[in-house]
Amino acid sequence: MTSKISFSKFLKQDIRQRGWLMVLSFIFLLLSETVFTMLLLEAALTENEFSSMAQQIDELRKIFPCMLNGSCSLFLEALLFLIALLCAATGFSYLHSTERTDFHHSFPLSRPQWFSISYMGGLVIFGVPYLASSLLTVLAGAHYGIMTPSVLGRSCMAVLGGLLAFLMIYHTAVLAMVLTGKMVTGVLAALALSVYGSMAGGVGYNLASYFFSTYSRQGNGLHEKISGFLSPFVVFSQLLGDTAGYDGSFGLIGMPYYARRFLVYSDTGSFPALLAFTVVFLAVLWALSLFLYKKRPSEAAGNALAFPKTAPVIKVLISIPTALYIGMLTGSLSSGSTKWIILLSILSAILLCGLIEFIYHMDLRRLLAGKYSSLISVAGVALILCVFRFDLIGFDSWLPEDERIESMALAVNDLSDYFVYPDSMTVHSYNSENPDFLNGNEGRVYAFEPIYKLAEEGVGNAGNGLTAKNIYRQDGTEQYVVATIRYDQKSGKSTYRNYALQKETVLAALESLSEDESYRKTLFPVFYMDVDEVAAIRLNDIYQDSALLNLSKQQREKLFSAYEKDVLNVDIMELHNAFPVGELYVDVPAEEAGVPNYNITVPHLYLYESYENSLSLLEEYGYTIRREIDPDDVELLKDISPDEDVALDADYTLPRVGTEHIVTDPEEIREILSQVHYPLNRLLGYDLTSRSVEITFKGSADACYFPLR
Amino acid sequence: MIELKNVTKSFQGTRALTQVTAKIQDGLIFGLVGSNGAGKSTLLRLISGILKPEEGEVAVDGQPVFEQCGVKRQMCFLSDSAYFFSNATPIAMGRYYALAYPEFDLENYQSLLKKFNIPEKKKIQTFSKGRKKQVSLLLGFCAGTRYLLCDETFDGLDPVARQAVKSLFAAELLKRDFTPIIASHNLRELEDICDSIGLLHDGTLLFAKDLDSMKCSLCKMQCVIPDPAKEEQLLSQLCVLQYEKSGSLLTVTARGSREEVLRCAGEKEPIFAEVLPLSLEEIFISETEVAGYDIKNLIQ
Repeated sequence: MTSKISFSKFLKQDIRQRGWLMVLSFIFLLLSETVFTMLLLEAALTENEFSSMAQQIDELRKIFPCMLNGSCSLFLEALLFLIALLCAATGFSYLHSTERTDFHHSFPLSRPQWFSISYMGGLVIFGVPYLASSLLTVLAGAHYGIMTPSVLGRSCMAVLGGLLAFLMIYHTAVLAMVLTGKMVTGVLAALALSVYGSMAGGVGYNLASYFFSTYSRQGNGLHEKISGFLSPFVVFSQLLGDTAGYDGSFGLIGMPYYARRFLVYSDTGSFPALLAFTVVFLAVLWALSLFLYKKRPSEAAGNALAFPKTAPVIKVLISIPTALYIGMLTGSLSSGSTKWIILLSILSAILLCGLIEFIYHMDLRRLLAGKYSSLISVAGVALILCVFRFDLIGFDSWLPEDERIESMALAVNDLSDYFVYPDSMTVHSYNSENPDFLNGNEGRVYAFEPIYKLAEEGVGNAGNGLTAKNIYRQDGTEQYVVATIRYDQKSGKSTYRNYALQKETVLAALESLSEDESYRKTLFPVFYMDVDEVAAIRLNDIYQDSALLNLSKQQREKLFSAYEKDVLNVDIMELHNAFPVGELYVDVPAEEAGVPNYNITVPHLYLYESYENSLSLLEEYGYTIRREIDPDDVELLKDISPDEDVALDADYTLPRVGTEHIVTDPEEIREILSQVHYPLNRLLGYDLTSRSVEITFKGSADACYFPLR
Repeated sequence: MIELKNVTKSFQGTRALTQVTAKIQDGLIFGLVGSNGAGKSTLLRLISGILKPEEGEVAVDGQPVFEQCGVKRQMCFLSDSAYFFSNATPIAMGRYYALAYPEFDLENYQSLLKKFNIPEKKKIQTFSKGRKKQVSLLLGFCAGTRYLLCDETFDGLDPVARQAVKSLFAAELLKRDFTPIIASHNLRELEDICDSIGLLHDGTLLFAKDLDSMKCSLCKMQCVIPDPAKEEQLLSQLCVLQYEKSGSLLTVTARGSREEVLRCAGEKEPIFAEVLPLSLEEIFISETEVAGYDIKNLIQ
């Protein structure tokens, strides 16, 4: 029996042999963590960008933990990844050499003991320098006055996140080293294993988004969530970001955060769930590595793979999703044309099979070896593409029976241009989805018949080639909008579909849904504002000169109450068909880093003629809304006739580009002014009038644009 | 005692050893000879527990070797191409071996290093191939294990070092329970020191016998028999491994004792008959020729 003492001595020997890596790790960690943080603190505390030093320190306290684990530094993040890879590669590289394997495995130590020695050695080689440089960074933070008990606690959490993130890649790389017999294949396998789960899992929904016209990215399905969890690199990134509690603010420092969020869009859920999952994932990777290490034949050294029987399986597993991904990436360059995706995917599968065989044998003459696995790979790619191309699973025609549905939700794209909510105006709006008609409970409709009818229409339109993808590219589709529908099935499953729908039917559905007061309250932004917090209200009428309403608190409350009453009674059709007479702008407080008393303006609280309560109250308060423009107030009027090709673009917004001429005839001016109405976003899309005018009022330097009736 | 029972091992579909069965007695030097690719290194790696047999069993005193630390502590394997850590010195390697082998005699090791004129604190990577081999052998000797498995031990050693190593083997055998197993192509070297020999050819163990008894059971004879019919009769009576006729001189290598072969030849009224000494090399060639490994096939 080998005693514990000799185990620790072997461990010490292992660390001594790999001492160079420990020294290098310490140097680079010191530079990228401690020195970088000190430079940043020094620079930040001498700049005068912020109004006070206290605010600056507050901001630095927010971001300090992320300096400890790479969430704010791509270099440190890459370094953690690289050290993890190197620790595994150096620790288990003996498995890739016959001489070294013979040397190690001839000693009277069991394989689990050898595994533990190499594994522990790697941990110490990273852990000691990382903890040392983190400690020095914390001391530097204390020196600059950043450190408080709270920051210290968050810093410890960030360092723990760094360690766990390291372990995630380290365990993956160890598994890769054990699975392979050559360093080259070991490193390639480590990189592949790091992202394979996401890649393989992501193939399905990426193909769906290319091939299925009704596919919606809303509400990630279970397989999408799982695929996020299956990739060590995704978990690595999540751990770094989440343990540092970094929210992506603070200017350029946030670049790595945004870059990572862009690359790794999977959301692994809550932080405790992430931690629990990380522990389980690490344990599984470790146990699998140890198991395979014990089963690994010593003679595997020098071969591409330690278990040659797995070679064809690995080839198929790698080549199919990778080929599809390459096909999608290169195909997307030709505006996502599916024929190119098909062609390039199959070509990629053939090339990948050859490449993998070359990696296996390092012999160009054996590029075509493994014919059966190559055939399976290419056939697999072709089969998957067939399923998507010909919609063999009936994805686009899917419509569950209404008995199977518990509730539905409707989100119409163009509504977001009409209704503006306070949360959607905040700076970090990616966090704020309030109201979330699709994913939240507020949009759930149990009496879903109107939405179900829309779904039926959408399925029919998709069958006729009128889809959410091509609606804006076809002529004669101005009367259509894109909407996403959520089906909450009684089985508990939620499904999302995008449809092209007629505006008329959507309006009818909205009218029908709005008969329910709670739904109407969800729809109108005024119900998301707290009148007590409102900083200011401004009124805009046809003159567009935005007058500040000087109202007492009580008057404001009354105005809000009247407006709420009006919107609860308004006919939804009117919101699309009628022209408003004016609009209220409401300033509400919001949080913005470093800016005290920051307010945002919520526009588009339109006033229609039918809003009698609001209009009479405004009149009472002395604010009369001007419905028409007095010709005497006009300094200059330009008539703009849009170009024909431009007019076809449904996304077209004011001001228009087209042929313009200055109108000078008073009669003509009077005639034009009688047709001018308040510019608005209609409920479902912009108003496409044939003409618009540009008016410069007397005493004003700026011109205003008006559509004509 | 090391016991091999029907041991079979393949590498990627290529059979390296087939149904090898043998017993290696303790206290004797066992020589493992064989043609290139015969499976000598594989057999040593199996005995030392590096490789796991596909079929059969490798056992020491009835205990399987693979993944059995207690059994493996009794054996030290010296590979054909010795491995040393980068930047390691002989003394550092000695200390490393001492971690694994509790019986490692560091003092003796240092003393042997001196005797072999090997600087103990110089980096091994600067040493010549022969000197590296010497360090490897000294590490193996001083490990204090019952079994020392040496793959191509004498390759690269100069004659003096070779002689010194042989003396060390002899001295260790006298001192303690020690069984070296030496795989080599150099049959003359093995002939000098081995007590028993195993002959591997093409993955099959042709025999494993005591060297003396093997020499007694094979006989090389030269004779001249005037009557061709009687000559033919002699060849059919003997268990001939190899024969050659040059003019009227017949040279025969056959199984059987010297007395038996001479008696048989005497009955055929030879003009001349005598028994010649048989070297291990000749035994190797004869036995492998019977197994189909014929020099004539190689050069044709």
